[in-house]
Amino acid sequence: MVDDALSVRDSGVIHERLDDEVIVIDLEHGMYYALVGTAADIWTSFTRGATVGAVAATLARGYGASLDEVRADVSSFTSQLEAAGLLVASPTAHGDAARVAVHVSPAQWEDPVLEAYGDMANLVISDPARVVDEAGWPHLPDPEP
Amino acid sequence: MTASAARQYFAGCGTLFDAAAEACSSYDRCYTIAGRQVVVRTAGAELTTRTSPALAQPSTQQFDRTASDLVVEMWDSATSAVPIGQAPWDPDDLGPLGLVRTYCDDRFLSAVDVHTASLSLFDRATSHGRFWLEDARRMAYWQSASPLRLILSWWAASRGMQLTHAAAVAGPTGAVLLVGGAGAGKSTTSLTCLLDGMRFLGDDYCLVAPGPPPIVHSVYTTAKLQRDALDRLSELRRVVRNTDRLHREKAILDLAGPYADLVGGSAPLRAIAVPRLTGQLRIRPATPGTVIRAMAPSTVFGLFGATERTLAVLARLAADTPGFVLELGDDAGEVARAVAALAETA
Repeated sequence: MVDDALSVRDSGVIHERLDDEVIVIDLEHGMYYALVGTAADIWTSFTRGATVGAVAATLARGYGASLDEVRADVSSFTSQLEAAGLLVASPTAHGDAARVAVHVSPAQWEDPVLEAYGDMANLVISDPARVVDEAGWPHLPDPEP
Repeated sequence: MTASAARQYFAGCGTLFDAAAEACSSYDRCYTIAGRQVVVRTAGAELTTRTSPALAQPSTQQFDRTASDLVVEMWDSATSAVPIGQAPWDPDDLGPLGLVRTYCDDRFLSAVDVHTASLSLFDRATSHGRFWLEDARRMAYWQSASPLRLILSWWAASRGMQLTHAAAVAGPTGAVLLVGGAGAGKSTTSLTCLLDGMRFLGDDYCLVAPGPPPIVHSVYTTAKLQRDALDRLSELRRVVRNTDRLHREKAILDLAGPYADLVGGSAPLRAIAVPRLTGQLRIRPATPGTVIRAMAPSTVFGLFGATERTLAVLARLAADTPGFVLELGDDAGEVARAVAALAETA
């Protein structure tokens, strides 16, 4: 199986790490995410591009956990991140474990969880061309009585 | 798209404002925000009436427009009969939150708010903003309660400050930020504290200057309140602006009149509280992650993505400031005393 390198989408995704938590905001889709513990460590590992194999190996070492278990969890979690459009193929990353920037929490390995929140999605313009007229300006709906 | 296109459009809108100001007299008002002089020029009385109550008490002193830290020009086409004209950009140039990507560069920022059909422009080099909407009489109620939000956000960022989606109240020595999305209890809590004698710095957006210590600055002297909350804080009915539209709008409260002594100003930040409606007052420590989750998304999305530094600034604030979950009970006096204690002892 080819283990292609992945990295965080560099357009429209902003993220910050605070201790063992990461907040990720997807400006394009109006979503935000909270990643805690192992999920935060996996995310941080991909911020500069890496392969699933390299990340799993580094995290398994750091947590003292089974490589098979960690690799399965990392693979499943990155699939979720790819499906959400947060991770994309990284043509420049090599997937070398030495390049993986890992912040390992001193804790037991646990299933990573992606907490997704969509309560800001109504602020996003999904189709700009639909909300403007021929002059290029949006119009307010007719006022209620 | 070249940088000159953004510059030309900004200049062209300046010409339109001048025409609007000539067509229906202009009103210049000077406000002090974060200790800086901000001049707002409006073409026509309608916009002035709708926006000036929210922007604190205008300074009574004479002011020199050229010495201001920020000058904003506002006009609407319905009042002035000066049309905005065809948008020079393609609809696909609008980003998902309304930034006009092809008209934003290192110097100029441009955004269309599709929810209020308005345009905001800002020139970082001259600290000059321009705001247009089609018809001031149809200004959204939330826009008149916190006008010029985007332009003030961009200006603040250019001065190293962050406009933040938060309520804030202050005691004698410090302030508490109340953070969370819509319905979290920010407005009710901040107004409860005001009625209990604390200083009100804002119920929706405040400026925060990074520390140490971070300083919270008031921007708006209005508050918005759901009808049921207004029923509980009935003393505030006398300052409701839109009494006849409460069936479809939140109440807009103009606080600067009767509460002038307790509204506005600045205070050092002591704590950040995340209100939660539980029915029983309880305060417990919050992790920085809990605080940033409550504070950042609504700030970032509400400010059209804000700036490239916003999330980092808010993360630093969450990491450096004691954070608490404030579970709200039904006893208003108890809530106010708990917030006052956070402002003094955290």
